[in-house]
Amino acid sequence: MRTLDWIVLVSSLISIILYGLYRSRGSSTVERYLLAGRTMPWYAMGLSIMATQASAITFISTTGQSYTDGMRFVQAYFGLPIAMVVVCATVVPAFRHARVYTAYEYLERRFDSKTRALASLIFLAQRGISAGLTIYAPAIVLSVLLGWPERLTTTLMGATVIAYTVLGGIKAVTWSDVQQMGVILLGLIVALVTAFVLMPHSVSIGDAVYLAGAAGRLNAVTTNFDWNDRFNLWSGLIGSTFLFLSYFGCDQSQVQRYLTGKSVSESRLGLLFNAVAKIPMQFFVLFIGAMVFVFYLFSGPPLVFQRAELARIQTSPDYPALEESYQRAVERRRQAALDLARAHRESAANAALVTEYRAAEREVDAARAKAAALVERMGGEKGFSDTNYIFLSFVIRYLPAGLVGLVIAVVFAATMSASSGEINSLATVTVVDLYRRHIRPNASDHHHLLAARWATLFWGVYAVAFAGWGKRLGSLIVAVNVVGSLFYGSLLGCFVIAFALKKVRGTATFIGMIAGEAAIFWTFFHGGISYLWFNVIGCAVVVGTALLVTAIWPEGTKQGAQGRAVS
Amino acid sequence: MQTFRQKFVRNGRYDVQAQDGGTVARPWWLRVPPINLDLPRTQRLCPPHASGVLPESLDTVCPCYTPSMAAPRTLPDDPPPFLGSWRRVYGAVLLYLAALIGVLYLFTQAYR
Repeated sequence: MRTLDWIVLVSSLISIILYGLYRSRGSSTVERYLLAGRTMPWYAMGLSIMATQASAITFISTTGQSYTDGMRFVQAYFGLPIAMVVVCATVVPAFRHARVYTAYEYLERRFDSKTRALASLIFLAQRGISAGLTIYAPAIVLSVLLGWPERLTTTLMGATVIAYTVLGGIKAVTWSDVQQMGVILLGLIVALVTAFVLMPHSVSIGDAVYLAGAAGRLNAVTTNFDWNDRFNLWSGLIGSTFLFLSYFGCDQSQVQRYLTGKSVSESRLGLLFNAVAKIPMQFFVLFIGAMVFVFYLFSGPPLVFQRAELARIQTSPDYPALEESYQRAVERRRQAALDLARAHRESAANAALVTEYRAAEREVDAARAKAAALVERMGGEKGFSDTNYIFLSFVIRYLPAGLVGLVIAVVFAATMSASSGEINSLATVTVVDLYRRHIRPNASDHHHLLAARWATLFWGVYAVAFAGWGKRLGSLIVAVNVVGSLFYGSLLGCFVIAFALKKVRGTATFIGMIAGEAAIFWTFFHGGISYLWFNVIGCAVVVGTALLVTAIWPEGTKQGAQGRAVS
Repeated sequence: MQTFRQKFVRNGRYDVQAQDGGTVARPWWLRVPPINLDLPRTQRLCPPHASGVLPESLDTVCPCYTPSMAAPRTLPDDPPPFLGSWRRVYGAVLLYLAALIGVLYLFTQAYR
């Protein structure tokens, strides 16, 4: 990075942090620290929810996903508007009127303390791991940029996030997110424009889009049904609906956002804003990845985007031949792309050119697959993937001075925001659902505020410790969703029962949740189906088991009047 | 099989006791700590509830009211700032989704 980049990066981060801290002043009680005193307007909540989802992983991994696999990942968000409608109609008013701090607090009022405790522990396990992955993402940036070890950069990023979160609370997180969304949009536009500008003059925007489509990178909607296919229309509409129902109905990191709203209407509007804006934004990010792919058609991408691994395989005796064959394939693809673009411009017959272009593309992919295998043979990670390095390599190598710093600042700021939100919610559940509920129920508000700050520190350290796990999981964006899906299904089942099945009570739900988790993990290890279905399976098993237990043992958990459960 | 009776306790929750005054038979792996009666609540109980006199149906505007699973539909609701009702807003969002999927499908077909 050049001096101007550093100036832009440092000043952007400092201004975002200071602005967030300025807006968070007065967070001197537990309610203000954890729920911003329930004073947030809808636009702040909506942008904050979007910014949390659009973390650094969105930039780093989604673009790489599009580069290698096309845009079909956008289908994973088709269930979001459906889920938002359901959440707004049912969950939001219930939580708001119950005036709870956490989603799991509601479960005790509906069921019993053990169900609340189990749901809290499931959330802590899942979100703790996800928080680690969120911190890991920008560590890639620094390791690519500066050659620092990822563990060191993870620790540095984690320390910054921890300090920021401990001081600011949810209000700082939310207002920082609002500012960051503007920076994120600016960064996205800059990256896309740069990709277009740097393409050969003979290639127009229309040609670029055509070339991306011919290479299968614009496959936004795929209608074929396949249980093993991660992203298609059906898994998107059904599976991701359950995923987002879980995420926004049962995950404290999101629930806490809309609990900060001034009213039920404000909370609903914030969520519906997300429902409307998220898919176009995700499409835009994926489209950038597709255009980066087209850019690299003409500028010669490296065999491996991760420089450290490239250096590793360069010592192998197999490398020279592999590099030579790769360069041949890249040149063949470049020529085929130019020919195809020309034919497209001239509206000439191009079936043979498309065939040649796709054959060259397959040759390039095959060479990259051999390189990945070579990385593994040379002692690299098992299942090596450089998906997360593609976009950053493009940014660092080709964006002009100043803009590199801006994009890196966006990546950093988004990560800090997403991580701080996650750590804040982890601390909230720890203090409200476990510490205040079971350990020190009679302590003062100030004591619990201090406990929340200490819990924030603890979860920050925990997240950093887990960050090293991320590099074993391939694409980060998928890894986050896979981890979430391992736990969300049973949580969702629990809340479905809470809201829909009046006769089912705590013990039956508790047993159902354990059965649901067992079913999900069995499916994960033995089922071999897309992770989006884990939520459906987990939810169904929880509900089915709870109904079965209730039918077999109806006296075990008598229902009290007015829907209150007997513990 | 034991029979149960319900007893309203100070923090607004029901507890279970065996009819004969003995303990409730539960498997050891389902036993959990009893609810702490001194648990600080987000909302203080209103006097009728705090005194242990539970009305037939809880008033939904009562601060200590916990909605049941069927309650959200009946809770008082603020109107949305546009389209008149939340039902219409939700319908508009779902129509938007259908239109978006249609546009993306056409986009995919156009550049396949």
